[in-house]
Parts: sequence; structure tokens; C-alpha cells
Amino acid sequence: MNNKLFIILIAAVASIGGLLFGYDTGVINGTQFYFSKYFNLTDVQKGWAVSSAVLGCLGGALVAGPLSKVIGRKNSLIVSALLFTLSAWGSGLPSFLPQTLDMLVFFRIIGGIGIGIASINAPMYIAEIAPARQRGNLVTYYQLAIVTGFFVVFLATYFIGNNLSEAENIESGWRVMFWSELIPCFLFLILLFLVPKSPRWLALKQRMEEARTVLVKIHGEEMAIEEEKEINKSIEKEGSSEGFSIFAKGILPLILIGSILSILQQTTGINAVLYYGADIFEKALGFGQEDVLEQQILLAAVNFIFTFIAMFSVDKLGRKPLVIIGCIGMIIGFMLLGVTLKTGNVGVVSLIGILVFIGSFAMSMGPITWVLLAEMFPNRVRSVILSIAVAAQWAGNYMVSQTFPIIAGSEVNATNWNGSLPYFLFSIFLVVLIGFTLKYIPETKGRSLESLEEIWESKFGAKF
Amino acid sequence: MTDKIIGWVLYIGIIAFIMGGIVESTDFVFEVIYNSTISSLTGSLFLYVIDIVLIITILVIGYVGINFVNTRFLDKG
Repeated sequence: MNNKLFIILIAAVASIGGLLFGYDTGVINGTQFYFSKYFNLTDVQKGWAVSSAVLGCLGGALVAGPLSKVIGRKNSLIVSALLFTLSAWGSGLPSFLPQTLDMLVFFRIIGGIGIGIASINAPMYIAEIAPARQRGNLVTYYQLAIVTGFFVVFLATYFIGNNLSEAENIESGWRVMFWSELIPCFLFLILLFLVPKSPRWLALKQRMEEARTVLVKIHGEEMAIEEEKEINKSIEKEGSSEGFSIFAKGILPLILIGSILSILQQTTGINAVLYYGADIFEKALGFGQEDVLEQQILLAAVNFIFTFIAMFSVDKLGRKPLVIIGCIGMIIGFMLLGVTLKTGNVGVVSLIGILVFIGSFAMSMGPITWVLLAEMFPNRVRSVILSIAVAAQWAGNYMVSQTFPIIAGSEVNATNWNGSLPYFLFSIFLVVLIGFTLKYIPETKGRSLESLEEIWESKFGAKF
Repeated sequence: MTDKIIGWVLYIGIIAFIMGGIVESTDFVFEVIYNSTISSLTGSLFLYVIDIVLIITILVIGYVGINFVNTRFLDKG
């Protein structure tokens, strides 16, 4: 097989991890709509059922680093595939298992751990396999796979839910929705056995012969020598940055900036809309049961299309302008939704509001947060800040997805706000995000890492 | 070998502390305080800010612990 095709195939296999990430987080939207009725859940219980997987993601992401170091990227991905499979099967609660919320939460946490492990290892594996000139392009496969997973799962839940009556959906439809994930899970698991181990990990483990064999297979004889030199150089460099303290002068403000940016990405309310979309469409906007799943597809399609827009415009417009434009779009979207809810004029305008919000997020804060986190911090501290910021992102996701049903179902929301309180809350956080971006986030487009280091040095006295 | 085992036990313990801390702080802030005292737009905003501060504090403490376990136990030898 031609080398280029081989690399693309390997990246595609690892990207199925991203697809499962999107699928597993997105499947909760359609299923919670029915299992919350099956279990007769309170708002707090519903929040727990939805956000438990996110908590698992946080744990998975924290354990992914050392796990990957010990057993390697490929084996970590196999572990995540096994966890995905177990979670997809168990979350549907086969009849011999106790039919309880605790059991469902247990299997959702298992799936979350799988997502956390895959979210660190899949992009790392792709980046380590790909030649330098193709690296950026191949890593974006992964981002694209996540939104594709969201789109596919919304299609799957629509077709499953649409072919059953409401009573059947409440009794068993949500189980089939969970089990539908077993198809990509098995595919991922089988294909992972066919891809090679990461040559960089093999080199880290001093297994140079094996690393060389993989490099030759991927890059050909000549390029393999170059790649091997690069790998050795980067391993040496990494060794020299060990023993670094987060309490060194000026580092804590950088950690706070990375973490706050990550949490503010979550307080935009994106995952409230993505996880509870079915509820929003039914309860807040008054759509009938039959239309709810259909509207979800529209939502996922907008998310998918606008992610492409961000991918093509990020290097032309710059990061900060895209974030500001996106935030303004999200505020407009939530204002349309909030005002129509408050005044009792829900309808097409409210739907447009949600779609404007989703589109604006997908073209800005969705992908740009990752770009900013990866670019704006100096090499020496990047991995530390990135790991805390990723954990903060999952924690922020947990906070929003756990509390959204509490705020949405509160008495004050029903009586004083007519159901619009959460959207005005998220809008205020969006205003904070604009101010935070203008004051603390440097524009990274076209700037060298050295010039960014100078900014942090002059601002916080940090030394790198 | 003993170091590695102690390291992994501590590592899992710290992850449990982080996960449990985030669940408990969010539960406390939103279930207890939201239902009993503050339930308005500014009140809800205030609760989110408290929760964000708690979350970041837990993560920083957890990371310091993880860093210690890595250097003292897991990365040895």
C-alpha cells in the first residue's frame, strides 16, 4: 500500500475515537428525553444521569497521561474502545441487569472514562504517526470526526425514535439508541488491532528497532531516518523541561487564564443545548414529540457545517476576531430565544435563535478555544497548562450540564422568567467572555512563540 | 516496584478527590444554596462564580498532588 494512503487510513482509524466521542456524548440528548420518563426522574436526577458521563470524561482525561506512558497510545485506544463497548451495551440496561438509575449512571461513567482516554490518546497518536507536513491536516480529521459523531447519532436517534410510538420509545427506544453505538464501537475495536504502535512511544520505551520498522512502513526508508532524528531530538528536549513547578513566578496567572477560558467556553451553554436540546424543543418551544428528534438533526447539521467555516477562516480572520464575532452571534441567538420565551411568543424566531447560537459557537469558541490553548502558552509550560485547562473544561461541562435542569426547572424560572432565565444567564457569561478575551487573550495568528513569551514575561513577570 | 504501586494508588486517590470534590461542591452550591436562599438572575450568577472558583481551586490542588506523585513515585527509575 502507498505510504500516504496508509497514513490516512491510520489517522482515519484513530479518528473513529473522535466519532465515538461525539456519538457517546450526543446519544444522551435523544435518550434522556425518554429514559427520564421511564425512570420518572427529578430535575436533579436528570442532571446527574446526563452529567455523570462528563465526570467520567474528567477522570479518563486525568488517567490518560500515565496510562498512555505505560501501555502506549494504541493500547490506550484499545482500552477506550473496550470501555465504549461496555458502556454502550450496559447503558441500554439489558433485562437481567437491575433497571435502576444508579446502574445507568455506572455505565455512563464507564463510557465517559473511555471518552477521556480517547480524547487525549487519539489526537496524540495521529500527531505522532503523521509526517510533519501533514500533521495539522490529519489532526483536524479528529475534530471533524467529533462533530460527525454528533451528526450521526442525531440521525440514528431520529430514525430509531421515529419508527416507534412514544410508549415504545419510553419503554425500549432509548435502549436501542444506546445499543446503536455498538456498531462504531466494534468497528473501532477491530480496526485498532490492524494499526501499528506509535513510533515515538516505542522510541520513548527504548524499543528502537520496532520504532524504525514502523517509521519505514509509514514514511519509506529515506524519510524514516529524518523522522527518527526528529523523534530523538524532541525526546531530549522533553527531558530537559522536567522538574518544572507550577508555583514558579508568573505561572499561576497563566494557569488561571487557560482554565477560565476553558470554563467560559462551557458557560456559553453549548452543552446545555446539545444535551438537553430535545427538552428545550419540547418544553420551552412547545414542539410535538414527533418534531423534537427532527429538530435535533437540524441542530447537528448547523453544528457540522459551521465547524467547517471555522476551519477555513481561522488563519484568515485570526483567532480573537472570530471569538468576538462568535460571542456576539451567540448573544443574539440567546436573546432571540430568551425574549420570545419571556414574552410568550415562541415559534420560528425561537428556533432561529437556537440555530444562530449553535452556528456561532461552532465557528468560534468550539474549535478556536483548542487552537488558542495549543498556541498561546510557551512550549515549556504548555503541557501543564493544557492538562489543567482540559480538566477545567470537563469540570465546567459537568457544572453546566448538572445545573441546567435545576435552573430550568426552578420555580423562579417558571414564574418570573417564563422559562428564559438560563439563556439570559448564559448571555451574561458571553459578555464576560468577550471582556476576558479582549483583556487577557493574545492574538496568536502569524506570531512566533518567542513574541508570545515576551507578552507573558512583561505582563506577569514569568520567565521561561 | 513498591513505589509504583504506592504511586498508582495515590494517583487514583487524587483523581477520586478531584471528581468527588467537583460533584460535592456543585451539589452544595446549586442544590443547597440555590433552593434555600438565592434564586434570581444575579443570585444564580453568583452561585456559578462560587462554583467556578471552587472547581479551579480543586483542580490546582489536585494537579499539585498529581505532580508530586509523578515525580516522587511514578517517574522514578
